[in-house]
Amino acid sequence: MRLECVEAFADASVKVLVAMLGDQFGAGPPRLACSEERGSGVIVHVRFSGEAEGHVALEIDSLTALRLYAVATGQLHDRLPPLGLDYFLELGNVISGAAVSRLNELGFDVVVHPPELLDAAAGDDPAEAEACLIPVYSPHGGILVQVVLCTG
Amino acid sequence: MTDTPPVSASFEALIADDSAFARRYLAGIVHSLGGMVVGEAASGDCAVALYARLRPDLVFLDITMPELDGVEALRRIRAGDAAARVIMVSALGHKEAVWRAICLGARHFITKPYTPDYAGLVIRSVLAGEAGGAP
Repeated sequence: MRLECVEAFADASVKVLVAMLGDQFGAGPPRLACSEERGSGVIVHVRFSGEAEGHVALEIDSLTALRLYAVATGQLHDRLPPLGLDYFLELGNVISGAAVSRLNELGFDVVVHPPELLDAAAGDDPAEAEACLIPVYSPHGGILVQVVLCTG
Repeated sequence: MTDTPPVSASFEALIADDSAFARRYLAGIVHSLGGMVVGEAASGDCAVALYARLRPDLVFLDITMPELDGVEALRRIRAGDAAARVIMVSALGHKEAVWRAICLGARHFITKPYTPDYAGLVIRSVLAGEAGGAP
């Protein structure tokens, strides 16, 4: 996976999170995924096709998801409501869109598909050997951005 | 900051986005400007059908939607009504996406994420008949 492609997702994640949640977010150094790593809580999955193919998955643990949703809406919940899950789908959509816009500027014509929720408890697991993991930190908890992108 | 005339009369809007959260966010902005959301669609084909039935003053189209995307929905809406006032609202903000939409007749292009103030400015300018623009 090309470094500038990984950077596009890291930059987009931080930029969008700051714009949507107005807090201090930062990206740590990317690393390769280990097979035993597995998401929990909310997992948003967005697929790409075209001149660069692959997907991005945003993995957010349950407590962090509740905290981030509270920041976004000003409402505290014990459990994430349906609109809260939709909020994270939209977050994944906006981050993916920003990253793909950057990929387009780099010369890749990429199509973004609508985001979907994965259920880690049900066995859905986006982890792949060639995936790159980008940890994003905030005072409310971390988000793991997993990117798999083949540019041929 | 550009001065734009206030929205003097109520307007009707159709919002098409596959995200309920995004539709609710935008609906709040429309209401704050005195407008009324007369229809919501979660897909492009639903947006085209609702536009034909409701003929609202403004249409907001997301690009990435299931079944029929926002660009094709824009093309079909404008084919049926060349005067349709469509604002694209998308996370895809690169030049190609913007120009494709503007060439198909979109009046403006709002890149997500956006603030209520910015969206309000765009809505006012489009209702006032000003030319479309890029983000």
